[in-house]
Amino acid sequence: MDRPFSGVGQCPPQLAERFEESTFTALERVIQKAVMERVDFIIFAGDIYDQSHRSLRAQKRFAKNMSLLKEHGIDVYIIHGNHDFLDNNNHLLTLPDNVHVFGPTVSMMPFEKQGRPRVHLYGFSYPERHVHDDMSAHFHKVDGADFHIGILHGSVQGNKQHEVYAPFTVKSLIEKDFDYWALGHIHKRQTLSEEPPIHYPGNIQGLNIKESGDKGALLVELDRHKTEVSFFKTADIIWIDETVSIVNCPSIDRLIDRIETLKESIRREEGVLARVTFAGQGPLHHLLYEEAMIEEMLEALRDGEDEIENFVWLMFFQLKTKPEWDREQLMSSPYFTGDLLRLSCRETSIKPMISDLFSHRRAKKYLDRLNKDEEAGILREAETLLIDALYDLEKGEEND
Amino acid sequence: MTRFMTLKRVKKMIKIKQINIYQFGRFTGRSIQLPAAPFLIVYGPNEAGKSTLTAFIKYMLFGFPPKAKLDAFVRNRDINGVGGSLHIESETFGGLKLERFLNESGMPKVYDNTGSDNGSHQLNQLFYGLDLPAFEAIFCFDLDGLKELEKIGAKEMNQLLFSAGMTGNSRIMRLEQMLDKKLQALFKPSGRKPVINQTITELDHLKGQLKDWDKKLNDYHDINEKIQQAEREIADILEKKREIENTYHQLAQFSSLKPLMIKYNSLHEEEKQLPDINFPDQGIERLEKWQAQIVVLEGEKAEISKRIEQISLAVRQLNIDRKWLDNERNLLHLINKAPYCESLRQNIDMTKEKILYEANLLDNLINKLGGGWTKEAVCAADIGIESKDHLKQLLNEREKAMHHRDRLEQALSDSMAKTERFQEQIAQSKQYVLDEAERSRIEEQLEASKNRDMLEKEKSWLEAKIQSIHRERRQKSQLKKLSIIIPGSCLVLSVFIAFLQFYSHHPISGFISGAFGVILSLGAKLAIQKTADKTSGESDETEADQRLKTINEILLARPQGELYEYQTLLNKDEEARASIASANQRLEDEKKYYGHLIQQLDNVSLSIETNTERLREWMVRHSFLETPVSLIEEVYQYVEEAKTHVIQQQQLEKQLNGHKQKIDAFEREKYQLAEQLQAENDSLWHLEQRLNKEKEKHQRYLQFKHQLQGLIEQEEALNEKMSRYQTECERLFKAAQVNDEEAFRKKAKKYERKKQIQSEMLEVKRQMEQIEPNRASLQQCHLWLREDRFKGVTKESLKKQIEELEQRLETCRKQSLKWQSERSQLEENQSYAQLKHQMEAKRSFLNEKARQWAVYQTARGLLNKAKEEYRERKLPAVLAQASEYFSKMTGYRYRAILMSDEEGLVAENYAGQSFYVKELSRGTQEQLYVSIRLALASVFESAESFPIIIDDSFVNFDNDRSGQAMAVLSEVSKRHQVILMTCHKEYKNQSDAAWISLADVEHQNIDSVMNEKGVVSCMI
Repeated sequence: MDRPFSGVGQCPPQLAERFEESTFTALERVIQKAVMERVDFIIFAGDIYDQSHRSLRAQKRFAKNMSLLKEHGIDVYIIHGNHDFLDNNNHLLTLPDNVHVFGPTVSMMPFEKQGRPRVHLYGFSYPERHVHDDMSAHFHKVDGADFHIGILHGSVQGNKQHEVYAPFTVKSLIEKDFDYWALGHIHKRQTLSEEPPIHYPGNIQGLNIKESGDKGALLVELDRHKTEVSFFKTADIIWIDETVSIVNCPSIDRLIDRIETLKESIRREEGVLARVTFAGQGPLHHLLYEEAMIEEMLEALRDGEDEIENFVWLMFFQLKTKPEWDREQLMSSPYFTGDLLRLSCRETSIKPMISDLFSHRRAKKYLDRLNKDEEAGILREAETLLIDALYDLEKGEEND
Repeated sequence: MTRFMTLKRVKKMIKIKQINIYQFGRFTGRSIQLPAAPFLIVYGPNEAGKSTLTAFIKYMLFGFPPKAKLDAFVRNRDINGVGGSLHIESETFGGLKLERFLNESGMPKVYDNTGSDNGSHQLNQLFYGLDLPAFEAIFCFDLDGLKELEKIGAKEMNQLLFSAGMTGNSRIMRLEQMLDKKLQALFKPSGRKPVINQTITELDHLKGQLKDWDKKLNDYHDINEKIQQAEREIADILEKKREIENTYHQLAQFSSLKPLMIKYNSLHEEEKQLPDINFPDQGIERLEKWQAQIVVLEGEKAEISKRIEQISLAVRQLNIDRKWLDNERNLLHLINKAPYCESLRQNIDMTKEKILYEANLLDNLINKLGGGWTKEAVCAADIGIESKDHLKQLLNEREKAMHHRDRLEQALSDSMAKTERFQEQIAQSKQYVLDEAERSRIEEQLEASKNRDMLEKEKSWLEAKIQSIHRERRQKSQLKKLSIIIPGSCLVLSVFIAFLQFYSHHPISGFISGAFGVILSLGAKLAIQKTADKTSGESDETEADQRLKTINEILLARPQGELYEYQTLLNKDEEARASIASANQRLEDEKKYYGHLIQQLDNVSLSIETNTERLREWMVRHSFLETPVSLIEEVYQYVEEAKTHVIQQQQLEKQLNGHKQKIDAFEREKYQLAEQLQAENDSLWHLEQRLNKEKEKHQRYLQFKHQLQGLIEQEEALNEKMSRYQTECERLFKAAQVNDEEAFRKKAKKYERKKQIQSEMLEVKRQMEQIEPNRASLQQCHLWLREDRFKGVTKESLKKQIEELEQRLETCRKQSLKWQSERSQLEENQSYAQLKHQMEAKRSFLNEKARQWAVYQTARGLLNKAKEEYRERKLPAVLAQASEYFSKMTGYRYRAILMSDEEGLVAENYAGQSFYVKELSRGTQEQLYVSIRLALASVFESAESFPIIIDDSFVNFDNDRSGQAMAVLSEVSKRHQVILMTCHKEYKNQSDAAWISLADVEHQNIDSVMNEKGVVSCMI
């Protein structure tokens, strides 16, 4: 809630405002769906807020929505995750009594309907930022209810894409013999098991380009015989990563036409934040490395988008076009370009070269750490820049 | 693998062949043709134009420098005509003429041997990216460079080496400049203006703001606590204020009620004094109301009685005759029936006419039937369905038989016609039939012609057979030879084997072998002999020859045309015979068919006669008079029609009788009713008139009766009402416990007074309730009045207390609102969120720019590294080459030149001693410098070696050193054209160098230069 978008850059104020509101809009859509479907209860499996972005507004809006649920007789079960771990200093607002928050150790909360316990919910909240232990071992089924639901904020053991929090194995969850496992922490919707159902619903609003596509929540219907899990959309802003080929594209105007066509194809009810990657080989390759040209294109393609509800806002272009020269061929060239490419290949890290900025006392606080892929991308772009500048000359030479 | 030149590799060489100066510095219209030798010494004393010539060559090759540098070479700032051309010899491109003029922007024109302009493309390829600064740095030097020799360190050396190894050096320089510019525009480690620096500053600012917000958020709990305290205090004050206000309201209420309460109490006292009076409510008004009602009703009753009397009299005067009303139904029945009777009368006449008509029709039909037919005979005839069906069947059979007879007669006629036609056909065909003798002759002739084909085939076969016999004969002679050789060999071999075995103590097997050999040889002999005998003999050959001769004779004997005619005649004969046979057959069949038809005709005639008999029987059985068979169907129809008319006539007569009976009954009934009513006239019209009159009178009677009944009912109602009103009056007296009206009225007065007191009390009470609607409060006020509760308490004192409390409340509320506002600001204010979002947006922007910077910086780093690598790899080669030159130039006193990062260049002598540049003599320094420059030129990588131009660099060399330097240059000239500008005449003796004196070309006239095809060369 209220966590800023990453990687959008500068944009018109009305769009910025829409982005700021987007997480709240998504929550309101969850609440509307819950009321419309007359659900028994809602589960939030952690990371409702990000404590690095302590937003009272977010808590206030959350509390208001919880009160709305109370009016409709809907209970809420919450666990806190690594981003909103239990810390009194940061949880400033009191939530209404239909909201049940799990404590720092695994416990069971019964959900009663028509005077008798129908569901036993199990879970725990993060007492601190990091929980490295496998907490699934502490979940124990307590008899006396029709259904048993586990709520866990963590990641699967061995998942190298994310930092490890409360690691668990799917096998260990299945062995608990629960009717459903509501998982949190991973922002991408995933199904770890169909029977018993173990799901990550993902986050309700994408926050950066890595979280592209539809975002939403899961509507779960537990029955004695079967469990039905359906996804519903909540995000007000959709992140989309698209590729445009420059192959057979003779001019920038034609390229703009292609992007315009793409824009219309990805336009939808919601607002769209799009990153366009140029790919392929074509005559426009050199032009796309000119900053002024890129700025001009972006300006043309963004024109008027800030005034419409279902906008498609191009954040920036990513360049993955292939130059006219063949890298492998140049690698074996005896000329300077060949030397440069071979030198570039030998470079294991660009960190020493860019340390002036990336180790700068003031700058490094705000800069993201570059991973190996990003470093490789920068290196590749740098060598493209050099070879593009020198290639014409040597091409003439080679022709001799 | 780098593109690295070694000296051992012999490169192609670029040579300057001719220099044409149109106008440049001191030269105007000069042309210098350089000799073919690669080592040239251009001699000229000081101020002879050596440097001008060097500059001219450089600018012709690489273009003019900025005009400021050209001042020394442009006269009176007139650039017209400044320029000229160079003739270059390239091993790759052949002869090229390179022409530049300053007033044409210095753009080069390049002509090849054919004189065509190839633009600058060839030039670019030839120069291999070399530009003027690089050329000056490597291939063109004077002693000015020596001044910097001491300062040459790693960086300078690197730049030199990089130039020596790089193509397109200037482009790389520009690229470096571009990268530096972009990098500096993006970021400087201690800068302020670059985008990234600015963004970092903005981010620091935002971060500071966020820190302030974080502080505020930490105060949130305290604010909450304060708000709760303030709310508690406000609640206390409000409670107190509420109490005082309550007392104030009570006092105000009591003050307003006090006079009313006193009045109420006095009225209450008076009311208590009066006894309780039983008197009906509004007794007087009610009594007067009832009495007034009774008077009105009495008047109404008198009027109704009078009206009743008047109506009773009118009823008596009506005088109604009841028997007319009693017989109304019967009379109306007769009246309704009268039109029907009238129609019956008319119907009787029509029926009579119809009966007559039917009788006429019947008579006509009987007449048509004629004979003995009468009405009775018609009635007697049976025309039932069965008889009719039978008759139809008989007639159908008869018709079929007749039709069959007609068809048979037609068939008989056709058959006779066909018989005649067949007979005619037979007669015609007989004309083409041959007699038997003629036919046999022709057949023989044709048979013989059929054999001709057979003979042809036989002839071929016989020829083949004769050849086969010849072949067999040859084989036979061979077999005869074999029949002797093979059995003989077998016999000899078997005898030999038998002897061998016999003598090797196997007599039995020897005997067996011998016997087997004899049998085998005999068998072979017989088999071969048999094969030889099987072949055809000579007799076969003779027969075949004779037969062949015969066939040839036959084939030659008979002509072909005659046979064709025979064949035609024979074919016609066979056709005629076949036709006759067929016609005979069909004639025979037709005759048989004719007989069969005659038979059928007889059968049909017999069945017709039988049918006639059966029809006659039918007439007798169904009472039909004797009639011819042909008319029987028509007679049956007439009889059937006549019988219909008889039945119709009978029905009409029956209907006529019925009508007459109904009319008689009607007349009888009318007469009886008239008598019963005692009417003067029995006509229906009169009877109806009288009935209507009686009915009218009865209607009026009924109306009067109804009115009378209503009036009586009204009179009864009035009586009842009057009685009830009287009872009400008496009930009032009873309620007041009096017996008459007067006592009632007296009691009423007392009752009124008590009522008035109570009303006033009620009014006072109402007023009090208006002031204080709450009954409990009112009672409370009465209590306070009794207790005298508010003695000494004033509204002003209470008001003052309230004002004090309100002031306190206001202060607390303001404080609370302030804190609430602060809290609400913290909760609702978007500044914090906006700051966060701004921070994130700014951070994204920073990262984006940082990435851009990283790309440029990495590119810059790669270039730097590449240059460094060049230094590391090429420096040893350059130093080695320089060391070699240096060693030679110094007469092998020194053996190496080394490079030290700290001290720069170091020379090492053969004794192993090292000397820094500054420690060397001036002459040795110059040798060192020249060696380095020559080495750099040697390692420069290009497709062809560039000329080296040295301008007066050996000034400080003594004779020995000059000789040594010349030797080195001579060696270098094997790979480069070397042009040495000098003011030393003594170099002329240099054996392998060509000599050019500038003095010799100084006086050339521009006109002569321009005379022939542009430029005339001057050979020295």
